[in-house]
Amino acid sequence: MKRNGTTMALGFGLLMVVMPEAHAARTCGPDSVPAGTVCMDRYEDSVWRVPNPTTTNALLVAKIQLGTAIQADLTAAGATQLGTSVDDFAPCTGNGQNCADDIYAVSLPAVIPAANITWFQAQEACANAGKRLPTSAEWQIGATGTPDAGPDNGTTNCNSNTMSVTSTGARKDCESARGAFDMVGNLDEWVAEWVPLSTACSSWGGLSDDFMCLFGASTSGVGPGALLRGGDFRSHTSAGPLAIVGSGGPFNSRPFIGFRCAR
Amino acid sequence: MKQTILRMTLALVLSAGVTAAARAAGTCAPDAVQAGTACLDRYEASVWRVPNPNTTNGPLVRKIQFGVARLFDLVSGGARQLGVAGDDYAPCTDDGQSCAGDIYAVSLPSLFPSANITWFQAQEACASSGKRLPTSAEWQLGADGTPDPGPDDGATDCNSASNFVSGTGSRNACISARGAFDMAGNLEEWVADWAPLSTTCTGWGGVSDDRMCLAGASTDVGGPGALTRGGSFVDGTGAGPLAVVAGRRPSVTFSFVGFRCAVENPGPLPAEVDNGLRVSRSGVDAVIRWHVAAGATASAVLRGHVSALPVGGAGANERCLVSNSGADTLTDPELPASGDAFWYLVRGENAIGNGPYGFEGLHGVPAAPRVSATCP
Repeated sequence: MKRNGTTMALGFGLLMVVMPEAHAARTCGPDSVPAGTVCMDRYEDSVWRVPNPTTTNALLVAKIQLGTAIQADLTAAGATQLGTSVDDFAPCTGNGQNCADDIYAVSLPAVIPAANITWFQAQEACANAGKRLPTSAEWQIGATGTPDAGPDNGTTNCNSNTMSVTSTGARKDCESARGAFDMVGNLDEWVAEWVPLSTACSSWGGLSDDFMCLFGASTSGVGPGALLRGGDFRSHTSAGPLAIVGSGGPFNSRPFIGFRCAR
Repeated sequence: MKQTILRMTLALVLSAGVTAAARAAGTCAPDAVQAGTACLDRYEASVWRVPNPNTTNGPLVRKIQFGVARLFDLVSGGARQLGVAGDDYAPCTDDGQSCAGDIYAVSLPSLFPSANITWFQAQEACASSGKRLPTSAEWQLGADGTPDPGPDDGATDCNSASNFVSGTGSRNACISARGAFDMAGNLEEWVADWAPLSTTCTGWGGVSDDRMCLAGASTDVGGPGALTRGGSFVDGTGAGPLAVVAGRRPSVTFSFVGFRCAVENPGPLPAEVDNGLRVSRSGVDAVIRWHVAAGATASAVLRGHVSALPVGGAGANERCLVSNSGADTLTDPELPASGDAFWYLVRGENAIGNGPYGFEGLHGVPAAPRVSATCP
């Protein structure tokens, strides 16, 4: 007996809502570590300009967003790394214009992390990668357990006294309790919060020798302060997991300021 | 005797202009745009008092929470908009008491957004809708790309100098890089952050002419400053994507201050499968082919009986034909009963979780999300 089959394909032009899955514990991509309710990038981010991100390189962008892109994927796709020596993010501007679908933050080992980047550009690079800047509190959870900077031995300790940036994860002992590298030293890291521009540094008292420059509130400075955490390669013993600075505006673009993302 | 076998596939179609790359980062509801890890409301919020939210209007509340409620739905449900002409939120109080399950924030086009609302009431309205106020940083991502107000042309530019609020989205050039409207001007918008109450405005120097009033720290009693962003219809060129004010206490209301809500972006879950889903015949077998969803590393295929729709309903007779499969094709040798038909749904899966089955459509409009627990 012959059976006639009728096939119907019905198109329902739909947008949709996805309800988040309930996770007993946060599942993070290989590029990040669980830190409370977020996945904190394991490394200070490098920033890449990805050509044709919505066409031929859409798969690469999906990999970046899933946290599975490796350096070979980026170079094979013709992506170029930015911010390693100068502010070369243009046409992405200092105030975050023209950055969407242009620059992508990637948490990779053994690369020079991006610096020379404003707070606005940093959060755009995170957003394009499906991430965001962490809050200061989230950053703290990621940093806890990182050895506080003492004398820098130049090889395995946190990079706090070399006057130059090192590759991500190269300082093997500079690892936090949750597995993030370089939270102390190497580059100062932008976090999400703005405050009135701080006017001075006080201290943590006897608790710590780390920077505590979230103090005072300027009534004359230009712009707000965007918080920086962790200290950098010039900070000596003032780098550390408690180091905090509120005296830098979000337009600062400096060779010692970088960031890492969270999701 | 001839027997006709009807096999139906519910194929989901990507909306035009949404790229696979963008969708792979997560999925926002139709009322919101994707901004990093948040879905930010596309429009400044209108606030609605919904009667009987736990009984007769339960479905309306769910539509609000899923981001698919329309003006028609609200009016049909007997909901009434608040905050347009004055502070009429009572019994919801300025400090946010008696507001839960009472007032709902909705992101809708072509309405006067609600103002005259405190920070506490605004976040209550967001919470009832399953959302929250965005942080200032999240707001910034949503605002980037919005044209900085110059002279307001009164028609398409951001509404920065009209002295009156305008309908949401009506200034059609006032759109950000990620698709949100009215981030500059119209209403100043409460965001989540508090700071010491600012005492002065210092400006952005040569970088921008937007208002910068996050400066100084009051030592007076009376509460902290809750940040507002973007400026309003009275600020002229001081409105803009960098405008920030921390001189407003969270318990006060202004006719030029409103808000919009945000919700967590589900993250890099797989996107909805695209319209490449096809069913063909091979002998008596059905052969299902699809494009693996953007961001997915595997797929699941769900099958059910048309006679037992909706998806996931009681007695649905659903079967998970395959899950965690790396393939993009499947052969189904089974046949539906005479007079019935099979439907097939495909979803993407990855290490983070499962993608969506999409929405039920009602006259071409998304209604309720399809939910089924049949596939693990």
